[in-house]
Amino acid sequence: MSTVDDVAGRQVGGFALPEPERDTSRRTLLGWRLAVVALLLVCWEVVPRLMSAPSAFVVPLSASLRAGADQWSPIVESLWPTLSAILCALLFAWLVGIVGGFVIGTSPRLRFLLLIFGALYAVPLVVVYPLISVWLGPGQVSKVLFASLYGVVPVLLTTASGVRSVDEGLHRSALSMGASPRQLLTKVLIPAALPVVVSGLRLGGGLVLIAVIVCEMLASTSGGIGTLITAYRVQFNAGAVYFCILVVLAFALVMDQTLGAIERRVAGDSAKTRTQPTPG
Amino acid sequence: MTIPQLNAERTRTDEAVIRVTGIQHSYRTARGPVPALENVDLSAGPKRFVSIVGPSGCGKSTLLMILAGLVTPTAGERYVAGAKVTGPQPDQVAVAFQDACLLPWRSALDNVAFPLELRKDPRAEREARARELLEKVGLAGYADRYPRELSGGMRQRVAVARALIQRPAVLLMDEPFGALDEQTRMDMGEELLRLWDEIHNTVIFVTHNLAEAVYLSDEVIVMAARPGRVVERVLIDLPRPRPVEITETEKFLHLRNRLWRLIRSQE
Repeated sequence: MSTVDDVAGRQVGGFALPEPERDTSRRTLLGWRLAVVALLLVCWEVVPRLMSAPSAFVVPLSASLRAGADQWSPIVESLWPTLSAILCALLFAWLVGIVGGFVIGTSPRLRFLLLIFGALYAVPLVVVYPLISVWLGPGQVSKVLFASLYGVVPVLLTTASGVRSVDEGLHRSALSMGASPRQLLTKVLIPAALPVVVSGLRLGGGLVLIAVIVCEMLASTSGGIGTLITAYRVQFNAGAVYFCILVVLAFALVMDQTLGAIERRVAGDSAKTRTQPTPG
Repeated sequence: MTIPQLNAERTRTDEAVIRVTGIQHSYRTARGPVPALENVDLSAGPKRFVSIVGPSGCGKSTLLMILAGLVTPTAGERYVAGAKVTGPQPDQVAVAFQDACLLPWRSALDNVAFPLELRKDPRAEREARARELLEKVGLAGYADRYPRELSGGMRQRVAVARALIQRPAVLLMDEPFGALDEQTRMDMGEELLRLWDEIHNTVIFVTHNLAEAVYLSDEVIVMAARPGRVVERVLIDLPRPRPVEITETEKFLHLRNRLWRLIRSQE
Protein backbone atom coordinates (compact mmCIF):
# COMPACT_ATOMS: atom_id res chain seq x y z
CA MET A 1 0.00 0.00 0.00
CA SER A 2 2.78 2.36 0.94
CA THR A 3 4.12 2.61 -2.61
CA VAL A 4 0.76 3.73 -3.94
CA ASP A 5 0.36 6.28 -1.18
CA ASP A 6 3.79 7.71 -1.89
CA VAL A 7 2.92 8.32 -5.51
CA ALA A 8 -0.22 10.23 -4.61
CA GLY A 9 1.61 12.16 -1.91
CA ARG A 10 4.13 13.38 -4.44
CA GLN A 11 1.39 14.37 -6.83
CA VAL A 12 -0.38 16.43 -4.24
CA GLY A 13 2.92 18.05 -3.28
CA GLY A 14 3.33 18.94 -6.94
CA PHE A 15 -0.04 20.68 -6.92
CA ALA A 16 0.80 22.91 -4.04
CA LEU A 17 4.21 24.06 -5.26
CA PRO A 18 3.55 26.17 -8.37
CA GLU A 19 0.95 28.38 -6.60
CA PRO A 20 3.13 31.39 -5.63
CA GLU A 21 4.89 31.38 -9.02
CA ARG A 22 1.58 31.59 -10.84
CA ASP A 23 0.58 34.53 -8.64
CA THR A 24 3.59 36.64 -9.57
CA SER A 25 3.22 35.84 -13.26
CA ARG A 26 -0.41 36.92 -13.09
CA ARG A 27 0.64 40.21 -11.54
CA THR A 28 3.24 40.89 -14.26
CA LEU A 29 0.64 40.09 -16.89
CA LEU A 30 -1.76 42.63 -15.37
CA GLY A 31 1.06 45.20 -15.34
CA TRP A 32 1.71 44.63 -19.03
CA ARG A 33 -1.97 44.96 -19.86
CA LEU A 34 -2.27 48.27 -18.02
CA ALA A 35 0.86 49.53 -19.75
CA VAL A 36 -0.61 48.70 -23.16
CA VAL A 37 -3.89 50.46 -22.30
CA ALA A 38 -2.00 53.53 -21.07
CA LEU A 39 0.07 53.60 -24.25
CA LEU A 40 -3.07 53.45 -26.39
CA LEU A 41 -4.67 56.30 -24.46
CA VAL A 42 -1.57 58.45 -24.89
CA CYS A 43 -1.54 57.69 -28.62
CA TRP A 44 -5.22 58.62 -28.80
CA GLU A 45 -4.42 61.99 -27.29
CA VAL A 46 -1.21 62.72 -29.21
CA VAL A 47 -1.66 61.25 -32.69
CA PRO A 48 -4.75 63.29 -33.77
CA ARG A 49 -2.98 66.49 -32.71
CA LEU A 50 0.19 65.58 -34.63
CA MET A 51 -1.80 64.62 -37.72
CA SER A 52 -4.03 67.68 -37.34
CA ALA A 53 -6.86 65.49 -38.65
CA PRO A 54 -10.28 67.06 -39.26
CA SER A 55 -12.17 67.10 -35.95
CA ALA A 56 -15.18 65.26 -37.43
CA PHE A 57 -13.12 62.06 -37.92
CA VAL A 58 -10.56 61.65 -35.19
CA VAL A 59 -10.94 63.38 -31.86
CA PRO A 60 -8.26 63.45 -29.17
CA LEU A 61 -9.07 61.79 -25.86
CA SER A 62 -9.36 65.07 -23.96
CA ALA A 63 -11.84 66.48 -26.50
CA SER A 64 -13.96 63.30 -26.31
CA LEU A 65 -14.10 63.52 -22.54
CA ARG A 66 -15.07 67.18 -22.76
CA ALA A 67 -17.86 66.34 -25.23
CA GLY A 68 -19.02 63.63 -22.83
CA ALA A 69 -19.15 66.12 -19.99
CA ASP A 70 -21.14 68.57 -22.16
CA GLN A 71 -23.68 65.88 -23.04
CA TRP A 72 -23.70 64.40 -19.55
CA SER A 73 -27.43 64.43 -18.85
CA PRO A 74 -28.69 62.82 -22.13
CA ILE A 75 -25.99 60.17 -21.79
CA VAL A 76 -26.92 59.36 -18.20
CA GLU A 77 -30.60 59.21 -19.18
CA SER A 78 -29.75 56.75 -21.96
CA LEU A 79 -27.89 54.39 -19.68
CA TRP A 80 -30.96 52.85 -18.09
CA PRO A 81 -32.82 51.89 -21.31
CA THR A 82 -29.70 50.15 -22.58
CA LEU A 83 -28.77 48.53 -19.30
CA SER A 84 -32.28 47.31 -18.50
CA ALA A 85 -32.70 45.87 -21.99
CA ILE A 86 -29.39 44.04 -21.67
CA LEU A 87 -30.28 42.61 -18.27
CA CYS A 88 -33.77 41.45 -19.32
CA ALA A 89 -32.47 39.91 -22.53
CA LEU A 90 -29.61 38.19 -20.69
CA LEU A 91 -32.02 36.70 -18.19
CA PHE A 92 -34.29 35.41 -20.92
CA ALA A 93 -31.53 34.14 -23.21
CA TRP A 94 -29.73 32.36 -20.40
CA LEU A 95 -32.82 30.79 -18.86
CA VAL A 96 -34.35 29.62 -22.11
CA GLY A 97 -30.95 28.60 -23.48
CA ILE A 98 -30.00 26.53 -20.44
CA VAL A 99 -33.36 24.83 -20.03
CA GLY A 100 -33.75 24.24 -23.78
CA GLY A 101 -30.17 23.01 -24.05
CA PHE A 102 -30.68 20.49 -21.27
CA VAL A 103 -33.96 19.25 -22.74
CA ILE A 104 -32.52 18.88 -26.24
CA GLY A 105 -29.20 17.52 -25.02
CA THR A 106 -30.80 14.77 -22.94
CA SER A 107 -33.49 13.57 -25.30
CA PRO A 108 -32.32 11.80 -28.45
CA ARG A 109 -35.65 12.45 -30.15
CA LEU A 110 -35.14 16.22 -30.05
CA ARG A 111 -31.54 16.14 -31.30
CA PHE A 112 -32.66 17.22 -34.77
CA LEU A 113 -33.51 20.62 -33.29
CA LEU A 114 -29.77 21.18 -32.82
CA LEU A 115 -29.38 21.24 -36.59
CA ILE A 116 -32.04 23.92 -36.86
CA PHE A 117 -30.49 26.05 -34.15
CA GLY A 118 -27.06 25.49 -35.65
CA ALA A 119 -28.33 26.83 -38.97
CA LEU A 120 -29.98 29.72 -37.17
CA TYR A 121 -26.62 30.61 -35.69
CA ALA A 122 -25.31 31.28 -39.19
CA VAL A 123 -28.24 33.52 -40.21
CA PRO A 124 -27.67 37.25 -39.64
CA LEU A 125 -30.71 37.56 -37.39
CA VAL A 126 -30.54 41.32 -37.58
CA VAL A 127 -32.64 41.05 -40.77
CA VAL A 128 -35.71 40.22 -38.66
CA TYR A 129 -35.36 43.26 -36.41
CA PRO A 130 -37.30 45.57 -38.76
CA LEU A 131 -40.19 43.10 -38.59
CA ILE A 132 -40.08 42.84 -34.82
CA SER A 133 -39.94 46.61 -34.45
CA VAL A 134 -42.98 46.96 -36.69
CA TRP A 135 -44.95 44.34 -34.77
CA LEU A 136 -44.03 45.44 -31.28
CA GLY A 137 -43.05 49.06 -31.81
CA PRO A 138 -39.48 50.31 -31.55
CA GLY A 139 -39.40 50.43 -27.74
CA GLN A 140 -37.90 48.29 -24.99
CA VAL A 141 -40.03 45.22 -25.72
CA SER A 142 -38.84 44.69 -29.25
CA LYS A 143 -35.27 45.40 -28.18
CA VAL A 144 -35.42 42.79 -25.42
CA LEU A 145 -37.09 40.22 -27.67
CA PHE A 146 -34.59 40.65 -30.48
CA ALA A 147 -31.57 40.58 -28.17
CA SER A 148 -32.95 37.48 -26.42
CA LEU A 149 -33.37 35.67 -29.73
CA TYR A 150 -29.87 36.68 -30.70
CA GLY A 151 -28.30 35.53 -27.46
CA VAL A 152 -30.28 32.34 -26.84
CA VAL A 153 -28.86 30.38 -29.77
CA PRO A 154 -25.23 29.96 -28.63
CA VAL A 155 -26.34 29.36 -25.03
CA LEU A 156 -28.66 26.60 -26.16
CA LEU A 157 -26.13 25.03 -28.52
CA THR A 158 -23.25 24.97 -26.04
CA THR A 159 -25.48 23.74 -23.20
CA ALA A 160 -26.79 20.90 -25.35
CA SER A 161 -23.30 19.88 -26.44
CA GLY A 162 -22.06 20.18 -22.86
CA VAL A 163 -24.81 17.83 -21.69
CA ARG A 164 -24.15 15.39 -24.50
CA SER A 165 -20.44 15.25 -23.79
CA VAL A 166 -20.95 14.11 -20.19
CA ASP A 167 -19.15 10.80 -19.68
CA GLU A 168 -21.45 7.87 -20.39
CA GLY A 169 -19.78 5.96 -17.54
CA LEU A 170 -20.90 8.53 -14.95
CA HIS A 171 -24.43 8.18 -16.25
CA ARG A 172 -24.32 4.40 -16.07
CA SER A 173 -22.76 4.16 -12.66
CA ALA A 174 -25.33 6.58 -11.21
CA LEU A 175 -28.10 4.45 -12.74
CA SER A 176 -26.63 1.30 -11.21
CA MET A 177 -26.72 3.02 -7.82
CA GLY A 178 -30.41 3.67 -8.26
CA ALA A 179 -30.45 7.35 -9.27
CA SER A 180 -33.88 8.63 -10.29
CA PRO A 181 -34.13 10.71 -13.49
CA ARG A 182 -34.30 13.82 -11.34
CA GLN A 183 -31.24 12.85 -9.30
CA LEU A 184 -29.41 12.00 -12.49
CA LEU A 185 -30.05 15.55 -13.71
CA THR A 186 -29.25 17.47 -10.54
CA LYS A 187 -26.41 15.36 -9.17
CA VAL A 188 -24.66 14.18 -12.31
CA LEU A 189 -25.58 15.96 -15.54
CA ILE A 190 -25.76 19.57 -14.33
CA PRO A 191 -22.51 19.60 -12.35
CA ALA A 192 -20.70 17.70 -15.11
CA ALA A 193 -21.88 20.08 -17.84
CA LEU A 194 -21.41 23.28 -15.83
CA PRO A 195 -18.04 24.47 -17.21
CA VAL A 196 -19.25 24.20 -20.81
CA VAL A 197 -22.56 25.85 -19.94
CA VAL A 198 -20.81 28.88 -18.42
CA SER A 199 -18.69 29.38 -21.53
CA GLY A 200 -21.95 29.37 -23.51
CA LEU A 201 -23.37 32.05 -21.20
CA ARG A 202 -20.37 34.22 -22.00
CA LEU A 203 -20.85 33.82 -25.75
CA GLY A 204 -24.56 34.58 -25.47
CA GLY A 205 -23.88 37.59 -23.25
CA GLY A 206 -21.63 39.15 -25.87
CA LEU A 207 -24.29 38.71 -28.55
CA VAL A 208 -27.01 40.19 -26.34
CA LEU A 209 -24.95 43.34 -25.89
CA ILE A 210 -24.34 43.65 -29.63
CA ALA A 211 -28.01 43.09 -30.40
CA VAL A 212 -29.25 45.74 -27.97
CA ILE A 213 -26.88 48.38 -29.32
CA VAL A 214 -27.70 47.48 -32.93
CA CYS A 215 -31.44 47.78 -32.24
CA GLU A 216 -30.93 51.18 -30.69
CA MET A 217 -28.89 52.36 -33.64
CA LEU A 218 -31.44 51.09 -36.17
CA ALA A 219 -34.56 52.52 -34.51
CA SER A 220 -34.00 56.14 -33.61
CA THR A 221 -36.91 56.28 -31.19
CA SER A 222 -36.02 53.32 -29.03
CA GLY A 223 -33.73 55.28 -26.74
CA GLY A 224 -30.44 54.15 -25.22
CA ILE A 225 -26.78 54.59 -25.94
CA GLY A 226 -27.04 53.22 -29.49
CA THR A 227 -29.69 55.78 -30.36
CA LEU A 228 -27.50 58.53 -28.93
CA ILE A 229 -24.54 57.40 -31.02
CA THR A 230 -26.64 57.66 -34.17
CA ALA A 231 -27.98 61.06 -33.09
CA TYR A 232 -24.50 62.51 -32.38
CA ARG A 233 -23.24 61.11 -35.65
CA VAL A 234 -25.96 62.93 -37.54
CA GLN A 235 -25.11 66.13 -35.62
CA PHE A 236 -21.41 65.71 -36.49
CA ASN A 237 -20.63 65.65 -32.77
CA ALA A 238 -17.70 63.26 -33.14
CA GLY A 239 -16.44 63.83 -29.59
CA ALA A 240 -19.75 62.63 -28.10
CA VAL A 241 -19.81 59.62 -30.46
CA TYR A 242 -16.39 58.60 -29.16
CA PHE A 243 -17.52 59.05 -25.59
CA CYS A 244 -20.60 56.86 -26.14
CA ILE A 245 -18.41 54.21 -27.72
CA LEU A 246 -16.31 54.29 -24.56
CA VAL A 247 -19.45 53.72 -22.49
CA VAL A 248 -20.41 50.69 -24.59
CA LEU A 249 -16.86 49.35 -24.26
CA ALA A 250 -17.14 49.72 -20.50
CA PHE A 251 -20.38 47.69 -20.53
CA ALA A 252 -18.75 44.96 -22.58
CA LEU A 253 -15.65 44.91 -20.42
CA VAL A 254 -17.54 44.65 -17.13
CA MET A 255 -19.81 41.88 -18.41
CA ASP A 256 -17.04 39.88 -20.03
CA GLN A 257 -14.71 40.14 -17.07
CA THR A 258 -17.44 39.08 -14.65
CA LEU A 259 -18.41 36.06 -16.72
CA GLY A 260 -14.77 35.27 -17.41
CA ALA A 261 -14.08 35.20 -13.67
CA ILE A 262 -17.04 32.85 -13.12
CA GLU A 263 -15.89 30.68 -15.99
CA ARG A 264 -12.35 30.44 -14.62
CA ARG A 265 -13.72 29.57 -11.23
CA VAL A 266 -15.97 26.81 -12.50
CA ALA A 267 -13.35 25.49 -14.92
CA GLY A 268 -10.73 25.70 -12.18
CA ASP A 269 -12.92 23.71 -9.83
CA SER A 270 -13.45 21.01 -12.38
CA ALA A 271 -9.82 21.03 -13.51
CA LYS A 272 -8.82 20.56 -9.92
CA THR A 273 -11.05 17.54 -9.73
CA ARG A 274 -11.02 16.14 -13.25
CA THR A 275 -9.96 12.52 -13.47
CA GLN A 276 -6.82 11.92 -15.43
CA PRO A 277 -5.16 8.59 -15.96
CA THR A 278 -2.16 8.12 -13.72
CA PRO A 279 -0.17 4.91 -13.52
CA GLY A 280 -0.54 2.79 -10.43
CA MET B 1 -19.81 -29.62 -22.21
CA THR B 2 -22.97 -31.43 -23.20
CA ILE B 3 -26.49 -30.23 -22.74
CA PRO B 4 -27.50 -32.64 -19.92
CA GLN B 5 -24.49 -31.50 -17.94
CA LEU B 6 -25.53 -27.88 -18.35
CA ASN B 7 -29.00 -28.73 -17.13
CA ALA B 8 -27.55 -30.54 -14.15
CA GLU B 9 -25.57 -27.42 -13.29
CA ARG B 10 -28.66 -25.32 -13.54
CA THR B 11 -30.62 -27.41 -11.07
CA ARG B 12 -27.67 -27.45 -8.72
CA THR B 13 -27.64 -23.63 -8.59
CA ASP B 14 -31.37 -23.19 -8.20
CA GLU B 15 -30.83 -21.09 -5.14
CA ALA B 16 -28.75 -18.74 -7.27
CA VAL B 17 -28.52 -15.17 -6.02
CA ILE B 18 -28.40 -13.94 -9.56
CA ARG B 19 -29.30 -15.80 -12.72
CA VAL B 20 -29.89 -15.07 -16.37
CA THR B 21 -31.40 -17.59 -18.79
CA GLY B 22 -31.72 -17.74 -22.55
CA ILE B 23 -30.02 -14.41 -23.07
CA GLN B 24 -29.91 -13.26 -26.68
CA HIS B 25 -28.53 -9.88 -27.44
CA SER B 26 -27.75 -8.09 -30.67
CA TYR B 27 -26.62 -4.60 -31.45
CA ARG B 28 -28.51 -2.61 -33.98
CA THR B 29 -26.18 -1.14 -36.56
CA ALA B 30 -26.69 0.51 -39.94
CA ARG B 31 -26.03 -2.86 -41.61
CA GLY B 32 -28.62 -4.67 -39.52
CA PRO B 33 -28.44 -6.43 -36.16
CA VAL B 34 -25.08 -7.87 -35.09
CA PRO B 35 -25.41 -10.76 -32.64
CA ALA B 36 -23.41 -10.12 -29.46
CA LEU B 37 -24.66 -12.91 -27.21
CA GLU B 38 -26.39 -16.12 -28.14
CA ASN B 39 -28.33 -18.33 -25.77
CA VAL B 40 -26.33 -17.51 -22.65
CA ASP B 41 -27.26 -19.00 -19.28
CA LEU B 42 -25.36 -17.91 -16.22
CA SER B 43 -25.97 -18.21 -12.52
CA ALA B 44 -24.03 -17.57 -9.36
CA GLY B 45 -24.83 -19.07 -5.99
CA PRO B 46 -24.54 -17.27 -2.68
CA LYS B 47 -21.02 -16.41 -1.54
CA ARG B 48 -19.49 -17.58 -4.80
CA PHE B 49 -16.69 -15.80 -6.61
CA VAL B 50 -17.33 -16.28 -10.32
CA SER B 51 -15.09 -14.92 -13.06
CA ILE B 52 -15.97 -14.52 -16.71
CA VAL B 53 -13.08 -14.77 -19.16
CA GLY B 54 -12.91 -14.77 -22.92
CA PRO B 55 -11.33 -13.06 -25.90
CA SER B 56 -12.19 -9.44 -26.59
CA GLY B 57 -15.46 -9.16 -28.43
CA CYS B 58 -17.01 -12.21 -26.77
CA GLY B 59 -19.59 -9.99 -25.08
CA LYS B 60 -18.43 -10.55 -21.50
CA SER B 61 -18.81 -6.90 -20.58
CA THR B 62 -22.21 -6.77 -22.28
CA LEU B 63 -23.24 -9.84 -20.30
CA LEU B 64 -22.17 -8.10 -17.09
CA MET B 65 -24.18 -5.00 -18.02
CA ILE B 66 -27.19 -7.27 -18.61
CA LEU B 67 -26.62 -8.85 -15.18
CA ALA B 68 -26.50 -5.30 -13.76
CA GLY B 69 -29.78 -4.42 -15.47
CA LEU B 70 -28.10 -1.56 -17.33
CA VAL B 71 -28.56 -3.19 -20.72
CA THR B 72 -31.85 -4.80 -21.69
CA PRO B 73 -31.18 -7.97 -23.70
CA THR B 74 -33.04 -8.66 -26.92
CA ALA B 75 -34.41 -11.80 -25.27
CA GLY B 76 -33.97 -13.70 -22.04
CA GLU B 77 -34.83 -13.47 -18.38
CA ARG B 78 -33.02 -12.20 -15.33
CA TYR B 79 -33.60 -13.24 -11.73
CA VAL B 80 -32.19 -11.56 -8.65
CA ALA B 81 -32.73 -13.41 -5.37
CA GLY B 82 -35.29 -15.58 -7.08
CA ALA B 83 -37.45 -12.75 -8.40
CA LYS B 84 -37.72 -11.94 -12.08
CA VAL B 85 -36.62 -8.33 -12.51
CA THR B 86 -35.54 -5.74 -15.05
CA GLY B 87 -33.43 -2.64 -14.53
CA PRO B 88 -30.89 -1.81 -11.82
CA GLN B 89 -31.48 -3.31 -8.37
CA PRO B 90 -29.40 -0.95 -6.19
CA ASP B 91 -30.39 -2.70 -2.97
CA GLN B 92 -29.04 -6.05 -4.12
CA VAL B 93 -26.68 -5.53 -7.04
CA ALA B 94 -23.73 -3.13 -7.15
CA VAL B 95 -21.36 -2.52 -10.03
CA ALA B 96 -17.68 -1.53 -10.09
CA PHE B 97 -16.77 -0.26 -13.53
CA GLN B 98 -13.52 -0.56 -15.41
CA ASP B 99 -12.64 3.13 -15.29
CA ALA B 100 -13.81 3.78 -11.71
CA CYS B 101 -16.45 6.31 -12.92
CA LEU B 102 -16.03 8.59 -9.92
CA LEU B 103 -17.72 11.98 -9.96
CA PRO B 104 -14.73 14.30 -10.46
CA TRP B 105 -16.20 17.22 -8.49
CA ARG B 106 -16.72 15.11 -5.36
CA SER B 107 -14.14 14.09 -2.78
CA ALA B 108 -13.43 10.41 -2.20
CA LEU B 109 -15.70 10.48 0.84
CA ASP B 110 -18.60 12.09 -1.05
CA ASN B 111 -18.15 9.65 -3.90
CA VAL B 112 -18.36 6.66 -1.57
CA ALA B 113 -21.38 8.16 0.19
CA PHE B 114 -23.13 8.88 -3.11
CA PRO B 115 -25.33 5.73 -3.25
CA LEU B 116 -26.61 6.49 0.26
CA GLU B 117 -27.22 10.10 -0.72
CA LEU B 118 -29.36 8.88 -3.61
CA ARG B 119 -31.22 6.76 -1.06
CA LYS B 120 -31.67 9.94 1.04
CA ASP B 121 -29.99 8.54 4.14
CA PRO B 122 -29.12 11.18 6.78
CA ARG B 123 -25.78 12.90 6.16
CA ALA B 124 -24.09 11.90 9.41
CA GLU B 125 -24.95 8.28 8.89
CA ARG B 126 -23.80 8.07 5.29
CA GLU B 127 -20.53 9.86 6.06
CA ALA B 128 -19.80 7.53 8.93
CA ARG B 129 -20.44 4.54 6.69
CA ALA B 130 -18.34 6.00 3.89
CA ARG B 131 -15.41 6.58 6.27
CA GLU B 132 -15.72 3.01 7.49
CA LEU B 133 -15.55 1.70 3.93
CA LEU B 134 -12.68 3.96 2.91
CA GLU B 135 -10.80 2.56 5.88
CA LYS B 136 -11.64 -0.95 4.76
CA VAL B 137 -10.10 -0.38 1.34
CA GLY B 138 -7.02 1.21 2.90
CA LEU B 139 -7.78 4.85 2.10
CA ALA B 140 -8.60 6.16 5.56
CA GLY B 141 -6.38 9.24 5.12
CA TYR B 142 -7.71 10.15 1.69
CA ALA B 143 -11.33 11.02 2.42
CA ASP B 144 -10.95 14.64 1.32
CA ARG B 145 -8.95 13.98 -1.84
CA TYR B 146 -10.53 14.49 -5.24
CA PRO B 147 -10.33 11.70 -7.83
CA ARG B 148 -7.69 13.58 -9.79
CA GLU B 149 -5.47 13.64 -6.73
CA LEU B 150 -5.59 9.85 -6.43
CA SER B 151 -3.63 7.23 -8.35
CA GLY B 152 -5.44 4.81 -10.66
CA GLY B 153 -5.34 2.03 -8.07
CA MET B 154 -6.67 4.32 -5.37
CA ARG B 155 -9.51 5.50 -7.59
CA GLN B 156 -10.44 1.90 -8.23
CA ARG B 157 -10.48 1.26 -4.48
CA VAL B 158 -12.82 4.21 -3.99
CA ALA B 159 -15.07 2.70 -6.66
CA VAL B 160 -15.06 -0.66 -4.84
CA ALA B 161 -15.87 1.07 -1.54
CA ARG B 162 -18.72 2.92 -3.25
CA ALA B 163 -20.11 -0.37 -4.57
CA LEU B 164 -19.80 -2.06 -1.17
CA ILE B 165 -21.60 0.75 0.67
CA GLN B 166 -24.76 -0.50 -1.05
CA ARG B 167 -24.32 -3.75 0.94
CA PRO B 168 -24.94 -5.70 -2.25
CA ALA B 169 -25.75 -9.39 -2.27
CA VAL B 170 -24.06 -9.40 -5.68
CA LEU B 171 -21.03 -7.35 -6.63
CA LEU B 172 -20.44 -7.10 -10.38
CA MET B 173 -16.95 -6.06 -11.43
CA ASP B 174 -16.14 -5.13 -15.03
CA GLU B 175 -12.38 -5.51 -15.48
CA PRO B 176 -11.88 -3.26 -12.47
CA PHE B 177 -8.11 -3.67 -12.52
CA GLY B 178 -7.76 -3.73 -16.30
CA ALA B 179 -6.21 -0.28 -16.53
CA LEU B 180 -3.64 -0.91 -13.79
CA ASP B 181 -0.07 -2.10 -14.12
CA GLU B 182 0.75 -5.73 -13.35
CA GLN B 183 2.18 -5.15 -9.87
CA THR B 184 -0.75 -3.01 -8.71
CA ARG B 185 -3.15 -5.47 -10.26
CA MET B 186 -1.75 -8.35 -8.18
CA ASP B 187 -1.83 -6.23 -5.02
CA MET B 188 -5.42 -5.26 -5.71
CA GLY B 189 -6.39 -8.87 -6.34
CA GLU B 190 -4.89 -9.97 -3.07
CA GLU B 191 -6.60 -7.15 -1.26
CA LEU B 192 -9.91 -7.89 -2.93
CA LEU B 193 -9.75 -11.46 -1.63
CA ARG B 194 -9.00 -10.23 1.89
CA LEU B 195 -11.97 -7.87 1.65
CA TRP B 196 -14.18 -10.55 0.22
CA ASP B 197 -13.33 -12.88 3.12
CA GLU B 198 -14.97 -10.31 5.37
CA ILE B 199 -18.00 -9.48 3.27
CA HIS B 200 -18.45 -12.83 1.61
CA ASN B 201 -21.12 -11.94 -0.89
CA THR B 202 -21.42 -13.13 -4.47
CA VAL B 203 -18.95 -11.59 -6.90
CA ILE B 204 -19.06 -11.79 -10.67
CA PHE B 205 -15.77 -10.59 -12.04
CA VAL B 206 -15.07 -9.93 -15.72
CA THR B 207 -11.42 -10.06 -16.74
CA HIS B 208 -9.22 -11.02 -19.65
CA ASN B 209 -6.36 -11.94 -17.32
CA LEU B 210 -6.50 -15.73 -16.83
CA ALA B 211 -4.11 -15.85 -13.85
CA GLU B 212 -6.23 -13.24 -12.11
CA ALA B 213 -9.38 -15.25 -12.81
CA VAL B 214 -7.88 -18.47 -11.39
CA TYR B 215 -6.40 -16.72 -8.38
CA LEU B 216 -9.63 -15.04 -7.34
CA SER B 217 -12.42 -17.42 -8.29
CA ASP B 218 -14.43 -20.42 -7.20
CA GLU B 219 -15.47 -20.94 -10.78
CA VAL B 220 -14.47 -19.46 -14.11
CA ILE B 221 -16.86 -19.13 -17.01
CA VAL B 222 -15.14 -19.28 -20.37
CA MET B 223 -16.77 -17.46 -23.25
CA ALA B 224 -16.11 -17.50 -26.98
CA ALA B 225 -16.74 -14.82 -29.58
CA ARG B 226 -18.80 -14.48 -32.77
CA PRO B 227 -21.39 -14.96 -31.47
CA GLY B 228 -20.69 -14.48 -27.76
CA ARG B 229 -21.50 -17.70 -25.90
CA VAL B 230 -20.51 -19.68 -22.82
CA VAL B 231 -18.29 -22.64 -23.72
CA GLU B 232 -17.31 -24.04 -20.36
CA ARG B 233 -17.61 -23.61 -16.65
CA VAL B 234 -14.36 -24.49 -14.87
CA LEU B 235 -14.40 -25.11 -11.13
CA ILE B 236 -11.34 -23.75 -9.33
CA ASP B 237 -10.83 -26.08 -6.38
CA LEU B 238 -7.82 -24.31 -4.93
CA PRO B 239 -7.95 -24.00 -1.13
CA ARG B 240 -8.69 -20.68 0.53
CA PRO B 241 -7.27 -18.45 1.85
CA ARG B 242 -4.94 -18.12 -1.11
CA PRO B 243 -1.53 -16.57 -0.57
CA VAL B 244 0.04 -15.01 -3.67
CA GLU B 245 2.55 -17.89 -3.74
CA ILE B 246 -0.27 -20.16 -4.86
CA THR B 247 0.16 -18.69 -8.33
CA GLU B 248 3.42 -20.65 -8.63
CA THR B 249 1.96 -24.06 -7.73
CA GLU B 250 1.53 -26.72 -10.37
CA LYS B 251 -2.21 -26.93 -9.83
CA PHE B 252 -2.64 -23.21 -10.38
CA LEU B 253 -0.62 -23.29 -13.59
CA HIS B 254 -2.51 -26.34 -14.75
CA LEU B 255 -5.86 -24.57 -14.29
CA ARG B 256 -4.59 -21.44 -15.95
CA ASN B 257 -3.30 -23.43 -18.94
CA ARG B 258 -6.58 -25.24 -19.21
CA LEU B 259 -8.42 -21.94 -19.49
CA TRP B 260 -5.88 -20.77 -22.02
CA ARG B 261 -6.36 -23.87 -24.17
CA LEU B 262 -10.13 -23.56 -23.95
CA ILE B 263 -9.99 -20.02 -25.25
CA ARG B 264 -7.46 -20.87 -27.95
CA SER B 265 -9.51 -23.84 -29.18
CA GLN B 266 -12.45 -21.56 -29.89
CA GLU B 267 -10.60 -19.20 -32.22
